Amino acid sequence: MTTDSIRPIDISYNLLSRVDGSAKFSAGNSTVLCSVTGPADVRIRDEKLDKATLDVIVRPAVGVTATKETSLAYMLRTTFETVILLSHHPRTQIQVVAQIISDDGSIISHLINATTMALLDAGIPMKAVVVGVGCLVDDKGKISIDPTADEVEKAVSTHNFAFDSVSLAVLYSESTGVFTEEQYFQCFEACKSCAEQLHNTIRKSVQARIDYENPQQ
Amino acid sequence: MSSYVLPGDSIPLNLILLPGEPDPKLILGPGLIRQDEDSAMSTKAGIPHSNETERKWFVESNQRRYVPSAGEDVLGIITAKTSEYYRVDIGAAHAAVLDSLAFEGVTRRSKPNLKVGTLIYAQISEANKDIDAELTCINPATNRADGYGVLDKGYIYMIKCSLGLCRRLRNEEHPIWTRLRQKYKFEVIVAVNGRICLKSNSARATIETIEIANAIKEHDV
Repeated sequence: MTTDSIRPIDISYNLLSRVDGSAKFSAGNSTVLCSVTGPADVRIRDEKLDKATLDVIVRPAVGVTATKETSLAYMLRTTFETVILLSHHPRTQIQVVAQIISDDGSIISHLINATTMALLDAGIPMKAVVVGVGCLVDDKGKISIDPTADEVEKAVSTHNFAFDSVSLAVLYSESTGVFTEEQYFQCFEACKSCAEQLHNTIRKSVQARIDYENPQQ
Repeated sequence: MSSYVLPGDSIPLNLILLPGEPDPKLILGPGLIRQDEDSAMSTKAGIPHSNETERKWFVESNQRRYVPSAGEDVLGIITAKTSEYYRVDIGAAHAAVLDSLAFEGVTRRSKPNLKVGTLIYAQISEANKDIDAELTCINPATNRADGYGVLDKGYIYMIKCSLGLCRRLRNEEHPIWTRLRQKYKFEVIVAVNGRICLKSNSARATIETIEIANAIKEHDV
C-alpha cells in the first residue's frame, strides 16, 4: 500500500500541569508527547550570556535513553536552534522533553511536529513554525508519505525533511538507503507539498484553541 | 488580515507618515519583531491587536511562564535577603530584586525585616532581558503604597494559573467574579505573573476561599 498524505492527525495541548507548555501529536499510531519548560533558570555551566540554552531530551517508548535517542535529540536541537529566537531570553534555559508514546514509523518527523506544537503552547518566541514530513521509496520506485513501521521494513530508502512555514525552506534533511538523485528530489517535492497541508492543519488546530480560550470573541 | 497569527506570519503596519517625519517611532509589544519598513513579524501564536493612531502593535497570546515587563503588578515570594535588598521569586527565569528601601515610609533606620517565604505584592520598576528585574512597593504615580507591600494579615491562599487567564481576571466584570460575588465575600489580588491571592479573615472562610480557588482553576485551559 502506498500513501500520498499524512495519516490522520490528532493534536492536544496543555496535558501536563507542571511544565510551561506541552502538546501531544499523533499521526495514525505514531504518538509523541512533548513538554517545554522555560525560559527558566539555567545551570551555570550551560549559561550563555547572549542567548538561551536549548536543551532537548528524547525519551523512548520502552527502555532507557540510548545512542539513538541522543542522536534524535541532537537532530531536534540543531533544527529548532535556527528558528527559536534564543537571543530574546539570554542566560536562561529552554528545556524540551519529547516522550515517544508509540512508534509506528516516521517518528523523526512527528518528534519535530510535537516539539513545534509544545513550543507554540509554551509561547516560546520563534521565527517560523517547523513541520516535519517523512517518506519512503519502495522496491518499485514508488513514494509513500508518512510510512508506518511495517511499510518501512520493505523500504529501499527513507527520507525525512523539516520545513519552516514562512519560506518552506529545508531546515533538516536525512536519508537512509539506496536512492538516485532524481528520487531524492521527487521525495523532497512530495514531502514539501505535504508540509504545506500539515501547516494548515496546525494553523486550524491553533485557531480552535484560541477560540476556546476566548469564548466571548 | 486573519484574526490569528502563528510565528513567522507577517503583520502589515500600514504606516501613515506625517510630512517631515522620516523615522516614525513605533511600539511593537510582546510577540512582534520588526520585519521591514512596513511590516512586523509575529513570534507567537495569538490574536494580533493594533492601535494605528498611537502606533502600537502587539499579539495577545497565552502562556504559563512569566517574562517581566516594566510597570506590571506581580506577586512574589522572598527567597533570599541581604542588607541592601531582597531576592523575590516572581515565577520568571530569574529572581527579581526588591530594594529594602522600596517601601512607603521606610528610612535607612526603619527598614522592614522580612523573612524568607514572605509574600509580596509589588510593581516591576525596571525590566530588561539582560538584567534581573527590579521591584518596588511604592506606586511611582502617587509615591504611596497603594496596596503594594507585604501580604501578612489574615489567611492568605495563593494559586497559580496561566498568564492569559490572569490578564482576563484583572477585569472586575469577568463572569467568574460576577458569579462568585453572588455567593461569597472575599478579597483578591490578581497579579499578571500567573498568581492570584485570596484572603479571608477566619479559618472557616478559608474553606470558602479554597472553593473560590477551585472555581478559578476550572476556568484555566
